[in-house]
Amino acid sequence: MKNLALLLSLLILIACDQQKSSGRLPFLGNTIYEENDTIYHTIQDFQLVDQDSSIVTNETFANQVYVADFFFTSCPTICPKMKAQMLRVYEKFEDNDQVAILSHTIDPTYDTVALLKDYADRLGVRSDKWKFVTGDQDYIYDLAEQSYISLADEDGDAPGGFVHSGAFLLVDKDRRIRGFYDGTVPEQVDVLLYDIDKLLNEYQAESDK
Amino acid sequence: MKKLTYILLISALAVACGGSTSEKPEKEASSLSSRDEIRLKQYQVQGAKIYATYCANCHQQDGKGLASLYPPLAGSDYLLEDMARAACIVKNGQSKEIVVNGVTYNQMMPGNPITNLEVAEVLTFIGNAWGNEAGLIGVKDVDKWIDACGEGY
Repeated sequence: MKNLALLLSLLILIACDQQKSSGRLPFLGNTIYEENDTIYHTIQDFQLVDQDSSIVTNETFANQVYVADFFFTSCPTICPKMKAQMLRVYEKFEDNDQVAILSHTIDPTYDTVALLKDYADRLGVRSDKWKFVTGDQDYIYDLAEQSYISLADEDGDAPGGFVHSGAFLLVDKDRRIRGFYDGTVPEQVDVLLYDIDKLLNEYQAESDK
Repeated sequence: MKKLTYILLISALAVACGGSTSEKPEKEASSLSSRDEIRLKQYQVQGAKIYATYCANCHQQDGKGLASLYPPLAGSDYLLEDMARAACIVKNGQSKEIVVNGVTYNQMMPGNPITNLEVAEVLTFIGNAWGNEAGLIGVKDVDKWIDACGEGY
């Protein structure tokens, strides 16, 4: 029930945000307020391998905002839909160095580096912009649950069910989650595209100060 | 959508019966072709729903597929040159590498838990959408084709 309320308020936040033309994106996840400090939920340290066999860590996205998702290449249900939608993000920000995409496989046994490479090539995307990463299965699930998806749903009745929910997560340059979208719904991805611009503007405004 | 199907069904019956009544003898000549046309439409309407459920995720709503990952169905030489093979693939899936309009695809396609009639309907929809002109794919043909599906389909 608590989760439902959280999800609802997230949706309302996102919905309201859409209407505001200015203002900052929300900070999602567990926020701790201390006397003189506010500690936001951040993505934990991670180390994964991409389609070029290169190591990918938080540092890879040091000066970038990125969109994260979880999928597997042999999935015939929602993943192709997600990839068709993620291609929109790729195409819009292809020439913007401040934006990257990070797709984690949740089936690393099948999705080897070679297979991810083939998948990315077939999708026609560059590895410096859109990283397809693999690693130990438990490690990826923990990362997904604790860093990315935990804010959306902590139930997880079906193992893998919520990790494999079609979510796109917008992460800012300081590892904080600033947006949560259903990657299978084109209208939600419209909002994501808009929010990425808005997030970049936040950083632009800060550097202009 | 259901309503439309009922209307189509009723009008199909009306036309079918029309030929035998003395009041409309002039319909006799055209009844066969219009009956086929109505069946084609029925198949397409049902097929569109099946397509949205089982096929559109990968092949996309516009039938264009997705990059070099999932092949197109719109204007697909591989599809249109062999409907019997297409029926087997829709029903049983396939994991072979194939070449569609000059591009090689290697993603596995799963089989679909649908009846032969539904295979006929979805093939009729696909075969007549996005510029494809395969005409009606009848369930009797599909029955025969699926009984004869080769190894690997």
